[in-house]
Amino acid sequence: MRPREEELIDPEIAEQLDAIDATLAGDPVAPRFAELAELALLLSAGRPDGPRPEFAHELDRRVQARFGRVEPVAPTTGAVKNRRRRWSLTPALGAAGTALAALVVAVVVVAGGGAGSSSSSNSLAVTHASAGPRAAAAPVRAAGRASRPLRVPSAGNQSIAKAAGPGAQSPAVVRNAPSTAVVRNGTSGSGSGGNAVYGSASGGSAASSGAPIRSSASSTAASGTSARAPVTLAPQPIPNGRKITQSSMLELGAPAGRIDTVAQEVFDVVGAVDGIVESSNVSSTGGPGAGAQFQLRVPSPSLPQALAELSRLRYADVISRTDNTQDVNSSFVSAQRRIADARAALVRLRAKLAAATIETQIASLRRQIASENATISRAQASLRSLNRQVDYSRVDVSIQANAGGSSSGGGFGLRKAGHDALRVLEVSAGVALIALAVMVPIGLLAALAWWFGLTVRRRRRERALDLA
Amino acid sequence: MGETLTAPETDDLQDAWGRFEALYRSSRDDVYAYVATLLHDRVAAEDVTALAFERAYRRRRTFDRRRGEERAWLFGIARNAALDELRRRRRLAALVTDPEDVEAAGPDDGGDVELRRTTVRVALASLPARERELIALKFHAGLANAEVARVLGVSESNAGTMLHRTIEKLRKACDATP
Repeated sequence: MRPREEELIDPEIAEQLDAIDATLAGDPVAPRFAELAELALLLSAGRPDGPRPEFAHELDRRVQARFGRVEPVAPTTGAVKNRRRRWSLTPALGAAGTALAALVVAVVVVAGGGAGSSSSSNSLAVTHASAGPRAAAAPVRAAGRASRPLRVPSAGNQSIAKAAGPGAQSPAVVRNAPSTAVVRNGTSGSGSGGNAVYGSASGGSAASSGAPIRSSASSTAASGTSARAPVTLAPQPIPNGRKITQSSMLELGAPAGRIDTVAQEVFDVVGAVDGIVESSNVSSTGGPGAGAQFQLRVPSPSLPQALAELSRLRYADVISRTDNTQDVNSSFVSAQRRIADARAALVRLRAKLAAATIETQIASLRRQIASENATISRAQASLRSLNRQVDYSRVDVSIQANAGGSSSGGGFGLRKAGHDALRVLEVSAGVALIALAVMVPIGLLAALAWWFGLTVRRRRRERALDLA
Repeated sequence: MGETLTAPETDDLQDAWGRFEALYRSSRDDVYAYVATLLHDRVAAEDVTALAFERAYRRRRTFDRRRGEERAWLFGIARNAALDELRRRRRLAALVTDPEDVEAAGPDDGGDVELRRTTVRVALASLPARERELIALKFHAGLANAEVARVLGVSESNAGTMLHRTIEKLRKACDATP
């Protein structure tokens, strides 16, 4: 049975082709194809003679040697040989280049992602600004991370309740903050922050009521476990010249036996960013009641760094983090106006006082002047307070002892091993994804170039035949 | 999965080698004849033939039986090598003319047969290169129509039609030859 394709051929043509095949095979054909058969035989007889015996012998020898160590005979095809070598190297070079590029990108991305702000944790010596009128400056020495006695400089109203009972803890959670971003270790494994939207001002002071925009971002890390939460940078409001206060609440979990160490690391971090410890309360019972609370003031520009550092303390894991912002621009403008109005009133009152002759009138004017002076003082105090709140962000840190934690909580265990293994897989998958993202476009381009090259080569060959 | 001429196992390797060797034995002269017709140059035809077999040996793993028989695959390689040679020669100099076939015009042949051979040869030389290639594949290399189609990258019916058209053209050229 003929192939289906041949059914498309005209039957007469098919018969002629069959006659040719029969003739070449030595079979008889119908008389009406005699002329065609003769032509076929003549064409077949016109076949060039075979190669020279010496060439045939040499080629036989090369084939027997499987083209191994014998140099090709073809002296006239040096260009062809070179081209063949070049083409055979191209895929290997392309693959190697692609793999190298993917590796470089992956390393750069991974290294860049981990760079963060980890370099400054242990470097600073001390400095403590007495920034606030209320809080005593708390110079904090940057210390190593090893467990050692707490060195807590004269913080304002701090207290250390060592080996005290559970009741020794005083809650240090402050709830305020209109604009809030919450990062809580919730359910599964990873997660890199979320998004937070901040109310950015629309021009005019009338609109500057600090309308809070609530936003939240949730990560997904094992809740209450020892899984280290991914370090997420605190969402930052867009700087637009408005007065914005920021505050954060950080809830950490640490092994009960490591509370001291973690507390010391908190002090270290505060010192590193020139922050202030307004109050602290550390309770090291070694048991489940252990914990610590800190009320910190951190220079606002250093807030992201401080939060990042606090989120990756050696023995503590982030349980939750809440970031708040509040636009206080209207309060600021209002205080400035009060000062301006009071000063203007003072000028008027002083002019009237200079012109006054009646005692009662003079006394009344002096009372009014005193009142305006008091107004100015209050407004200036308010401005100072606002500036301080804007310049120094409040950070409340709460450290809780992990359930079932022990002094060896920072050591190696099955849970930690599992977490580390998961992390390794996570990073590996990330690197693989990045590599894939690099290799796929490059591969597509390479395939396109290969196809283009192949097409061009084929056309050139066909053209060579046409021109022959 | 495409069938290859070799396999990792020793037996398969031997079997594959045996098949390649058989392919070489059965096709060497046919490849040479086809390439010589295409190039009109015996020395170049020998070089290209050797190169074609070497390429076939190196690329034997790329052979896919679903895409045709081994002979067609081999002649595809030979065709590319021959066309590369044509391109190279075209860059260097004008194409060498068809050499005089002294042996074909031997005095022992009968006058009538010799006359007809000469007529066919002259008519064949008047055809375009593509049609001469078709004749070479069919009558000098001895390929079946399906194999010709595979080498040229066309369908079998298309190859048959092209072959028929070329034969008709050749017959007319023979009739027109004085």
